[in-house]
Amino acid sequence: MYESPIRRPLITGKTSYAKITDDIVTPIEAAPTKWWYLGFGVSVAALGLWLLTVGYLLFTGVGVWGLNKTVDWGWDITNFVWWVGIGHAGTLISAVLLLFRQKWRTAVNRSAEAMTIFAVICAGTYPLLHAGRPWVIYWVFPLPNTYGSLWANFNSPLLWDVFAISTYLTVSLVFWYVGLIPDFATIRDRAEGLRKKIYGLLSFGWNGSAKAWQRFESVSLILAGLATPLVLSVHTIVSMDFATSVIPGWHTTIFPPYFVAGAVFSGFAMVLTLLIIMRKVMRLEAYITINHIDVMNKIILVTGSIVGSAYITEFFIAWYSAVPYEQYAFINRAFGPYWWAYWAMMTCNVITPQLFWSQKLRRNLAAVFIISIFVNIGMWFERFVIIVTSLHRDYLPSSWAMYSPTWVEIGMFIGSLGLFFTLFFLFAKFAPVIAIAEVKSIVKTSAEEHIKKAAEKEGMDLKEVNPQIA
Amino acid sequence: MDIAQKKYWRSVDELSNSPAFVEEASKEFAQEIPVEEMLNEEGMGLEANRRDFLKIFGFSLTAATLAACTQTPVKKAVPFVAQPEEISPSIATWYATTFSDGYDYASILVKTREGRPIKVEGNTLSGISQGGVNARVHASVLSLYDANRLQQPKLAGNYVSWEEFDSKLGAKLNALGGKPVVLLTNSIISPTTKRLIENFKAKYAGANHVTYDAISASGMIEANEANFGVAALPTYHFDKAEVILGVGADFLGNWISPVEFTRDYTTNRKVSKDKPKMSRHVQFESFLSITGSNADLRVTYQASKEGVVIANLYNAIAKLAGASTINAPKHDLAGNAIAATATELWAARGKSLVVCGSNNTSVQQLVNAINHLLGNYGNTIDIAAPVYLRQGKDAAMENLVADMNAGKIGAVIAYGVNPAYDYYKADAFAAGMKKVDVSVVVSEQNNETVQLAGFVAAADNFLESWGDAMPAAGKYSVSQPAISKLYDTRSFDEVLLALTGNASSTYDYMKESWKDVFSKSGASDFGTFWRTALHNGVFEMPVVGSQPAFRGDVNAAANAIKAEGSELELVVYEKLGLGNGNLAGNPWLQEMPDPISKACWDNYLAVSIKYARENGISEGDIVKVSANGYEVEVPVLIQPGTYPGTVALALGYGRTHVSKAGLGIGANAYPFMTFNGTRGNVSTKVSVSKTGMKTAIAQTQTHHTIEGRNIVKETSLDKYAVNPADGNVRPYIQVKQADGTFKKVYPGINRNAVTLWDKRDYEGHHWAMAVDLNACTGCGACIVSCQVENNVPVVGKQEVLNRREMHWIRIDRYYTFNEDGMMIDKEKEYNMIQNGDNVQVAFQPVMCMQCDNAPCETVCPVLATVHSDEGLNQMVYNRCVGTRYCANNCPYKVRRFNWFSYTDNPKFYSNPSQTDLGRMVLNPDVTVRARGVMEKCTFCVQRIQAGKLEAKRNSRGVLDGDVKTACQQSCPSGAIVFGDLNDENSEVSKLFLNERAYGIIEELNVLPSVNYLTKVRNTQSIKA
Repeated sequence: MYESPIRRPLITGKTSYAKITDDIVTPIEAAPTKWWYLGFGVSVAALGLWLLTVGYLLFTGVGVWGLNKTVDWGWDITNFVWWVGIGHAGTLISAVLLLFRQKWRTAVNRSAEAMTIFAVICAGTYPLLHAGRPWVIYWVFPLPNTYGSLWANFNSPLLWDVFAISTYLTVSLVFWYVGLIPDFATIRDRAEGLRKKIYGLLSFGWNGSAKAWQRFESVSLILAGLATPLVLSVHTIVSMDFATSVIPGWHTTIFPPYFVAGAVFSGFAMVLTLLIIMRKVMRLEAYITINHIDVMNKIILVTGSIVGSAYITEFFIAWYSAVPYEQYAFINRAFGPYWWAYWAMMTCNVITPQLFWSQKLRRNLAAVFIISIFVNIGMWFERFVIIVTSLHRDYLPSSWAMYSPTWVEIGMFIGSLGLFFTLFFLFAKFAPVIAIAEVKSIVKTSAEEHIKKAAEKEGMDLKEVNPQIA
Repeated sequence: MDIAQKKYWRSVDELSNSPAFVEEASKEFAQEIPVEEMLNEEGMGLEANRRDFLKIFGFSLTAATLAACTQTPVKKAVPFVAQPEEISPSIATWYATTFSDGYDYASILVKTREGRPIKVEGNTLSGISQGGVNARVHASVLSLYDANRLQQPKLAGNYVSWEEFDSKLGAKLNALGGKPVVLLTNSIISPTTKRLIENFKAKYAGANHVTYDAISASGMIEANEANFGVAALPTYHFDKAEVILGVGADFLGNWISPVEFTRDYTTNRKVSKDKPKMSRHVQFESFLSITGSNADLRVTYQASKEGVVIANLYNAIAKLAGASTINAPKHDLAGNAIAATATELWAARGKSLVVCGSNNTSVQQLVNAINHLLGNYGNTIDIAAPVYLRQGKDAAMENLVADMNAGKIGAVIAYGVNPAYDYYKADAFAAGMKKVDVSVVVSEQNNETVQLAGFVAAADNFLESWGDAMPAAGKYSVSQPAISKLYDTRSFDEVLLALTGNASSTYDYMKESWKDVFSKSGASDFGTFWRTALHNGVFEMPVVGSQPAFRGDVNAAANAIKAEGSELELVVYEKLGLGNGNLAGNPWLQEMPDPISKACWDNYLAVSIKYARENGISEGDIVKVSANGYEVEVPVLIQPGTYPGTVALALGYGRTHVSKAGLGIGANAYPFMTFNGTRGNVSTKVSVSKTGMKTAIAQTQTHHTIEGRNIVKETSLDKYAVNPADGNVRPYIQVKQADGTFKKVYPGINRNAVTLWDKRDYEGHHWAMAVDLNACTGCGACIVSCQVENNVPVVGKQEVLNRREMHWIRIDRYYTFNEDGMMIDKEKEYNMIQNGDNVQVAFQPVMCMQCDNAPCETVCPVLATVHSDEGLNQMVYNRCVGTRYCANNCPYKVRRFNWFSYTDNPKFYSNPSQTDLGRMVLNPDVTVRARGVMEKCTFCVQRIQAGKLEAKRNSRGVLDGDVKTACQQSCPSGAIVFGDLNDENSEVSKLFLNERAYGIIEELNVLPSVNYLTKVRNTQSIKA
């Protein structure tokens, strides 16, 4: 067996297949910890706030937000794009990294994908609720109807959005669930009574036969192939919500790559925020190692640099275009009334990820956690800057206006975080947060103990086999 | 035959028929059902028997029934038993009538639908309003449906019948014991009412008629009496004037007859290639009015120096004329404006005009003398054709209040006036009202003066009664009812008829007075004459008369002018929306943004930039303003163009007894007026102190500079004469030709030349609009007219603060500052402004541009906004889901979203469509938009449709001018032209080819269907 000596082990400590199963399934079988109750309680409370604010919104009208005749989108679409962006890491990890045969993905893909799905659900609430008449929002679907030739407008990027997001959600959900099937079967096999029945149902009668595994592998590959273009297309299309408009600051061809990079950037930041806590609370340090975090930080560094270059390119193009409106839009971003949002974005998205050039910081959990939060905040501000500062001062100065959110918008945002975390806590309690079967597949190659054993068996010097361990 | 009936036994038990069996068989169920036992199980501790069951059953049934009955309001629709001849459902009926409330006058056409008056338009046959109508007259139709109207006569606070009212009042008036009765009215221009007043005076010995104008022209009337022996106002011909000087006279805003003046003024402001000439307008004023904002040269002065400015102007002109000068302290304005303007006026003598807003008799005498020296009488001013729109003499009112307080007056019958609110000594008036024996108020609305009256006569709305008017010599107009009386009310004429014991109807009585007009008219048959007058709404005949000779003592007038001022002075003025405050309860007027400040729903202290900087005052600070022993607390608005030592406060606010919409809005400024023979609007010795509190002023525009953008294009007259396209650089695209060369293509002219889209063919019509920026004065009549026509909701102050006003048309207003020869038009340079009183203003009406390549259309996911084959960008309310992307993507930001349900959310109580009565005013041709949908200007698509139908009915095509949008029709200056671009001969087609025509931000290639004509200023040249 050959393992590249520069690879660090992906599973540390003592390892056996039984131990992996035990480590991951025990939290599902045991009663929830008080920390789980606390976290879940807070999340449900926030979800309650969401229900309250959404109820008030639906009862009274979109006027309960701070929007106006000039700024018709504010926190609603900012949060939508932010959540969609967050939903990008999961599929990237599970699909793209699967195709690239990156073994480190096995430890993080399950929870990252769950996060993706929950984030996309949160994102989906915004286009629904931002509409003036959400009860007829189904008109955006090209449904057969009795209105004669009335149909959806295929020119509208909002329609593309509907397709992009719904496809993405569907594929992500199926991909995630397919991956869960063998793991549900593992839980089933250890369970008794009602629990056995439920997990039996969820595992679709998985029998662990070679044929089943072969099919599982094929389906995973096919779904990975389907999901990969979606990683690029979803945010490309979301960016077109802006890029196809005539508004200075929106009408930009750089948006698709810039949005995709930003989405991956923010998605990985959110994955890190969650995993750093999760590995600690659920004692999964052996599986989600510091090496995993290091690798993800490198992706953050790359995508963060792309985003930073895009910011600078936008400024250059605004100057180079010689269009006064375009130029004003960018000067206004940096020095207008919303300068603080711009500089918050620049600091969080351009400066902080550059710290990851230092390996020390990449492997320092506290630093990574703080930086990941910074990136989350920065990417929120990026969307706010793009949406609000572009709209609030566009062509005719007479219509220039300021926008600030009301308690309802803030409540809905906190509430959508509540929705996200409620789902995530439920997931962490009832489903394996690490893909058991997939992790097992790398034990023989990437577990520290096995590398040591292999070296011993072969009578080789561990230093030669893997200097990173020795 | 005996038919034996066989019997079969079902069981042995039945055969034996034992008592146990009989009992068992009578039960429905063989086994006992353990109901009690079941209900007594744990947790079901209910001792239920049949009665309880029935009770519970009955209760639940009733409760369920009640809960299921959502009370649907019962609406009764009573069909006509006999279809009235004049009313056809869905077809509008128009009546010519007259609006006259002693402040505004307009000959109008009233549109009624199914018997309800819903819209006012100007009567083009009137020589005075000439088809124009201002915002107040547009809004007046809502007063008819005002919940604040008096619905029945009242006596000492109790409702009574008219019979009781008449008999008790008659008895009281006859028992005054020699004390006189005083009729206190606004300026009555109705010949019929005047006749009735004479009858009244004849019947009640010693009766007197006092005319009181809240905003008086007493100074001018007295000056004309002194100089010409004519106690009236003259007719002004702004159209004949080549050089106009306004000194504190807001003649395009509120001064005397602003609609007439706007029409006349703008005819001489429109330029063309063939006629590169326009009048030169110089305005001296102490705060920024819309007249000043339209001037070619505007110079500020200290408010109290008005007389001195006029005296110096007199001297400057007298020198040029070789006449003797008068004694006046030497004074000139910035840039020696008085001397320079005198030269200009002198050069244009006979074709110049000087008007002054002062209410001081001496100052007005000097103004008369100046116009006399300039030879303007008989040319631009006609004193032989007197105007009666203001008749009040301030001294008469002053004396009346004194007499009332002295107990010398027996009875006061007040009509059309509200001195308890708008008299500068309202308290003295109120005290006097308590001292008269009989106090009668004839009023349509509940107001402050009504509170003081013993007898309250509920008056008709002007749309409910007969009447007439003679606003100027030789100009008559008729009022006719457009609806029968909504309540138990009477017109003032009817009240007078009753008091004089005349049994004839107002219609007959009025017809009688028109016999007098008929006799002068030279018409042959009264029947025809009367019917024509009624149909046309007006009857006008030329007034021939020579100008009376000028006489008067100029030196005495000059000596009477006081020049003392103080460092800080307060001017009170009228706004274009509320005017004198009579219609303060009208939500349309409250929400109409002030043309200059763009503020609505409030009055505020306008201060100069310099004053604010020096005193550390910022916008929205609430200050205490005190002068003449009166004080108010109002917010500050920093108003460019204000003289540094002047602060200005609008009249018409702070009403205490008015419709809900006007309650608690602003502060009353009338008590700041002064009296010195006539009432003045300048207070000296003013103190302004900060209270430390802050509030927000609701403005529809908060960014005031144009940021150097080419949105309002301007040039000067001299440059225009050389090159008609001056200042109008239009964007072009270099298009590669087949031979490899490049050709410039102007997308604004060669529409569709360069486009990503399929070429649009407009086979029928292609509707378009042109707006002449030279003619638009910014008055805002179009805003209210559009609001009335299109059922645009009123959203209230908080929503305007939230930047969510719903107006479909707005007038953008931009300031450019001239600071020591440097032009400042960018926000970042604003801090460099020291004075800010030298400001240039540009107005630009903006409505939906109905772009051919509309950016809103492509982004709507549900096709709720689509292009019509006539070039209209249509909004399908029923299809709209409310994503608001269209509004974001509109480069002109003309789309308006229904953030709330404005028709039933109680927060928007000012919106007329919230009450059954208010809903009467809605235009049935226009959908009332629901919550959550987008709306915007439609180019009055309902009018286009009506025009097309009318043309079809007459078997012809639509002719140019058949369709007029509401904004176009109401525009007093004729700045808006609407028509068909496919018709080469239409006015709008010609204007689109004008050298001055341009679209806003044409470089986007959205192909707006609204073009603007470059603003030409009559200045030597614009400094860049």
